[in-house]
Parts: sequence; C-alpha cells; structure tokens
Amino acid sequence: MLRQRVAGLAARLGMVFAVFGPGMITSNVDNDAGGIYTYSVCGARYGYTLLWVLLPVTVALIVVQEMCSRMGTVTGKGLADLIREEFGLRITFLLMMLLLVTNLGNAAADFAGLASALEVMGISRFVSVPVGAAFIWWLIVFGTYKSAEKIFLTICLVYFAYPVSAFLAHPDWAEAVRGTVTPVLPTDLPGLAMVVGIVGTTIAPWMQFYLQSSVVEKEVQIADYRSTMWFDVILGSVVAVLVAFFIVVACAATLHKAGITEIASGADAARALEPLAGRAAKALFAFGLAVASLFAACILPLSTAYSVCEGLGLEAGVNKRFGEASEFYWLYTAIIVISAAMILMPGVPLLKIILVSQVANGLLLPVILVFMALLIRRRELMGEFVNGPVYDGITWGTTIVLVGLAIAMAAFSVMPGAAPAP
Amino acid sequence: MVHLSEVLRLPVFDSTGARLGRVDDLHVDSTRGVVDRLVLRSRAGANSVPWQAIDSFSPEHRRVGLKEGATLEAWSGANEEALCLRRDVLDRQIIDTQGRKVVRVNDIALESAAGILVLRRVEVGLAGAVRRLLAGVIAPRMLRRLADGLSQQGIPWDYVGMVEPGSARIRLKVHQQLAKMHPADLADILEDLGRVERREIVAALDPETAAQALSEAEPSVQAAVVEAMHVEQAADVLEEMPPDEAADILGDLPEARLQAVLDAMEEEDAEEVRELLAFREDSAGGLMTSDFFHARASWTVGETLAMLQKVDEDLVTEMDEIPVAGDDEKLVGVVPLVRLVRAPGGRPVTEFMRRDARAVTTSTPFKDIVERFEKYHLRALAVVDEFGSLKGMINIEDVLSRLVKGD
Repeated sequence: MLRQRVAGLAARLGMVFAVFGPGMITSNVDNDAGGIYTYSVCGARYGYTLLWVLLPVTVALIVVQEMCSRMGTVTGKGLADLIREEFGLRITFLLMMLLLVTNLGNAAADFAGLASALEVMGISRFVSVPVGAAFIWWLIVFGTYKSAEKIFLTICLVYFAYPVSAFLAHPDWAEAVRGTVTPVLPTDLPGLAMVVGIVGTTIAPWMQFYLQSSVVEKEVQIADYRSTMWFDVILGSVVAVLVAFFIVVACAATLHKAGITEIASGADAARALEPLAGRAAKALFAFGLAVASLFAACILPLSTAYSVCEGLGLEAGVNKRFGEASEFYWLYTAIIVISAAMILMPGVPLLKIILVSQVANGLLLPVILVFMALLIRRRELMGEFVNGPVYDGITWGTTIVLVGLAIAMAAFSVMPGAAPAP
Repeated sequence: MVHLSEVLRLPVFDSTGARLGRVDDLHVDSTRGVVDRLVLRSRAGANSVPWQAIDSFSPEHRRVGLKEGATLEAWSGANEEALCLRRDVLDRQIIDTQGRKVVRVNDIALESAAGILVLRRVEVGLAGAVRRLLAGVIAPRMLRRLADGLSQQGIPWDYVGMVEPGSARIRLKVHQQLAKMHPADLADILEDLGRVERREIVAALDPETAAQALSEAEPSVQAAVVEAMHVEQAADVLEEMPPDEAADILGDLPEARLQAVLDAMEEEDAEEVRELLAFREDSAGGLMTSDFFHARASWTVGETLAMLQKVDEDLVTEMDEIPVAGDDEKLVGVVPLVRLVRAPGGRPVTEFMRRDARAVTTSTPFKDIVERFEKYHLRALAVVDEFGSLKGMINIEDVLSRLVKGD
C-alpha cells in the first residue's frame, strides 16, 4: 500500500520533471552557492543600484544558451568536441586548462557554500566538506545520479522563498525600479568586480559546455528545436534571472537597509529570509544552500572532467569502467579532492573564495564567447542555422563589454592606492 | 617510427639548399596505406611534390630535402578523392573497427622503410596528445622519451574506419569493415557520432545492414538518425525493417518528414506502416508486425511445411506456433511447430491445431499483453481485429525491448 503510494508520488514528480528540459535544469543549477552569495553581497553592499546589470545579462544569457542548444542540436556534438575539430589540439588544450582552473574555483565555491550553510547550523566544515565530497564521489561513481537529480531539483525550489521574502520585506519598489532602469557603472575595483561577478555567475562558462552536452545526449531533433527548445531556454533564463533579482531585492530591503553592507557568513545572508521565515530563516537558508551546493558540486566536477577528456580525445563517461576511462576518473576525483581541500586549508575565507571564483567566470566568459561566435558562423557546420546579425551583434557586444570591464579591472588593480579585490 | 606531429611544420629545402616552405600535410594512397605526396606551404601558397622526389626525410634533423630537378605542383586540396592526414584524419573522430567504438585521433604513427612512408596506426591516448602539444616546444629527442613513457593507445590503420569517407575507395573499405560488425555494436557507434557523421556512415552501409543497426539503437537515436538522412535513403532503410519497427521510428518524426519518407517508400511497405501508425503505440496494434507467416485452414501438413521452407526466415524466427486462418482471413487456431513437423504429411493442418489461439485484439493494452506472455509462456502471439480477422503477430522480442526501453 505504502509502496504503491510512494510509486504514485514518484510518477507524478516524474511528470513534472519531464517538462524540465536541459535549459531549465541548467538554469536551476545556476543558482548555486556562487550565485546565491554573489547576489546577496550585491544587494547588501550596493542596495538596488546594480539591479540594472540583470537586464542586459538576461538578454545575453538567453542568446548564449540558445546558441549552445542550437549547436548541440544541429551538429550532435559537444562544445569541446567542436572546438577541438575546428581549432586543433593546442588551442583546445589551453582553453581546457583555463576551464579546469576556473572550475576548480567554482567547485571550491560550492564546497565553501556547503561549509558555510552547515556552519550556520553549527556543523564544522571539517565534517561537512569531507562527508559531502565523499558522498558526491560515491553518488556519481557507484550511485544513481539520475534519480538523485530529481530530488535535488525539487529541493532547489526552496529558492522561491526569496521572491516571497522580498515582497514581505516591503522593499522600496520605486527605488528598485530606478536601480533596474538607470545604469550606473561603479568606478572602483570592488564595484567593477561585482559587475563582472554577476555576469560570470549568471552566464557561467562551464554551464555552456554542460548545456550543449545535455542537448546532444537528449537527441533533440531539429524540428523539435524551434518549438520546444527555444521556449525551454527562454523560460529557464528568465526564471534564473528573476530569482537573482529577488535575492538582490530581498538583501537590499533587509541587510542593506539595516546598515549591514558586508556579509561575513551564511548567518548574515540568511537574514534576507527573515521577513518570510522569521526565526526559521537560518534553517531554511542553510538547508537550501547546502542542497544547491551539493547539486552543483555533483555536476561541476563531472562536467569539467567530461569536457576536458572530450577535448583531448580521451575516453570519458560514467558508464565506462575505471580501466576504460582511467584519465576521466582520475581527473574527476582530483577535482573533488583538490577543491574540497582548498576549503579545509586553515583560515580560508569562504565568501572571498566564492566571489573571486565568480569573477574568474566573468573573465573566462568572453574567451568562450569568441569561440562560440566563430563556430556558429561556419556554414559547413551549421548549414542554414548560422547566426543572424542580431545574435552576432549581441554575442560580440557582450564579449567586448566584458573585455572592457576586465581591462578596467586590471587598470584599477595596478593603480596606486586601489582597494583590494572583494 | 615517425609521428605526424613530428613531420608537420618541418622546413623543406630543394637540392641547392634553398628553403621552399614547411610541411603542411601528407597525402595518402588509401588502398596501399602509403604516403604518396607531400604538401608544403609557403607564403606564396600551397604546393605538392610526389613522395619519390624526396631525397632526405629526417625528423631528427628537422628537415626535408628534395631531389634535384623535383618540381612543385600547385595544390588546391579541393579534390574529393584525396585523403590528407592532417586535414581529414588528425583531430577527427574515427571508428576503431576492432575495438568497436568511436575515438578521436591525437596523432598518427608512420614507418619509414625502403624510401616509402607507410601508415601504421592512429594514436588516441595520452601519449599522442602530449606529443602533439609539445611538438616544437621541447627538443624532439626529449619529447620522444617523454611520450614513450606514457600509455600508448594505437589503432592499426587496417582497423581504422573513417567517419566521413570522402573517396569511393575509402567508402568501400569502411563498408566492408562495418558490415562485418554486429548490428548492436554498430548501433553503439551510431549513438556516439555527430549528426553529419551519422548520415555519412549510414550512407556508406547497404540498406539492410543499416536497418539492422538502426533496429538496435535507442528510440531517440533512431529518430535522430532518420531525421538526419536524405529522404530517399531513409525510405530504403525503413523498407528493410520489420514494419512495426519502422512505424515506431516514423511515429517519432515530425508530421511533414513522416509523410515525405512514407511517400518515398515502396507503396506496399508504406501501406503496412500507415496501418500500424494508426494504432496506439502501447496497444497490440502498435506493437505487432504485419509481416508474418500464417497457414491456411485448407492446407495439408505437407503443404504447410513446404511453404515454411520457402518463405523468408525473418518471417518465422520467433514462431513456435503457426497461426492458421480461414479463407475469410479469420483466425481459426494455432498449430505448434513441433506437432506439425511430427504429423503425417497428407492430413489437413487443422487436425493438429489448438482452437484456443490465446490471441489478443489490436486495442489490447501493453500491460495485458505482457501478462499473457508470462501466463502462457509464449514466444509469439497472434493479433486479431474486432471481427476476428488475423492482423499481425507480436514476438517475445518486441515485448522485451518495449519493457526495457519503457522505463
């Protein structure tokens, strides 16, 4: 009887996730520890003033993700595969090394998120991180990741607590709207880094590799592409940015308003959920963040090891035995071990690691965008599905703006008396 | 052993010592597996020389020297029949026809013997990648020592299947190798390839082999492969498949594509598929094949056995009971094959049949079909319409694969 009820519930949940395309899943993973903290710090430190960044980011996110799903659908190949075939081994290798280093930072950020979430509940990071890392490793190598994914996705819905909390906090909506429509670029290093970090965490480079591989694996047909995928990508992107928007608003209306402009720990960030959850805010925040971090920490090392092996022509895939794909398994294990170890080094500032890793994402993104833009214009690859002028404009525009921001950051960081990075 | 990574970009000199350019590519005679032309590039453009015109070829000394009087020919590279190692093989996906999987080429090993350069194997492992990455960065001798210490994974040239077979000769070679593979292995290979490569490989196979391989692939892959193929080709392949499987694949295609492929198929095959497409996919009608053998109630045992020997083996593989239909096509019973074989040849076949055929109707849901197979230990089951007319057969194989793919 009970078994039947459980099975029925599982079937209904399965129905819900059947409509979750690769775009929706990718956007959901987007709100990991890096995202939550970057948006929280943005709201706490800058109030509503940087909300405008989210508008162009939405457009860029849609365009970039659509390009990845289109390339995956039309060519049936992953992004690393395509870069390898069109640009050769050496360029691919350099790019993969950049991706590897950046993603080590991202994986570390996710373990930092796990550590900070459980520290709110009084659990030491020396317990939470090794246990979490071992669990993830086990889940992928021996467990059934596919069923775990559904549980992860369900719990990630906790983040819809942010919009509710934002409304209950009675934010200054006039101020929020003004911040959304008046672009004011900060003129100091931490401010610029914050802008780059927001872009980098929302349009994380690794997610483009992950999304394209998911599309290939799903065997999306070109005919289905125009109807369903397009919708999936737009919906996923808009939902991701909306959650980001409300995190910033909730933090601005609680933390920033109360004069708390620096977030030092998960306990500070959890205050943004107090209007909704009151005393339970900490528990809610910790629970959601811990799960989101674990989720991303599952996908990230896997996707990284997969992309690197794919690019370098090494055997990859969890359905292969260790002996068949030893480089893949070693790389996967090394990413988890190294990134977890980074968090366990004595005196490591968790939040700083998280923010810096997201800025690194923002710096790698224009590089990836250049390759994507060059690939997707090749008619022999894409046929009639090459980029139109609007897409090209947005891609190159995003690239140029990001390079400009990176140069500005570099200039500020060598200027005498410049403030240290966030 | 020489590696392509060591040869590319080597400077080329003529007999007087004047520098002509750098090695850009090696052109291969694909039937013999021997390098027959060297392509070199300079600022002025690309040229080629026949391999016989090469006097000294020594990667260790980092130079290639041409014989006296060697003439350069302009190289356009546009020739379809040409197979060039850097352009067509390096960094590409190939099929390891011995290991039966798709791999990416990191480097190519050649052997220099008696003035000719023979293709030995393509390298797919870490050693090949390291050689490529560090070529020209550290000294060749050091690089060799380093790479030799790493795990070598090579595929002998004879077992290399090109995924985009440009020339007719390579196409033939690929076809011969792939046709020898088990269809299930071929299906795994199809699953690993990109869209264009799939189309090329299927085009290189004869429709029958392609149909067998496609039958073994995942449903989503089947639809994607058929979508990528040319309409005519898709029609040829689908004609070779049992109509129920062809209908399942076509059912996953968009409407316009479905109609185009059906129109290109032979009228008779298309009609069968159309009928099957009208049934729900999870009913007996959607599961059954309309291509099967049955006996007539008017036949003798001898006539039935004679017909059994004549028909295509595919029609009777899973059948341990032969359905018997009257002249009005109504199912009257089934006769077990063993009983039929042991019966005297002159007696009517109806004497040895079981009247309760345990048949299902076309609208019977899949769950009930599985139960019936399990309850009666069936290997094949007859399907009738609401008037009792024999419409098709369901094999245990169809049920098993639906069960496996179902979740």
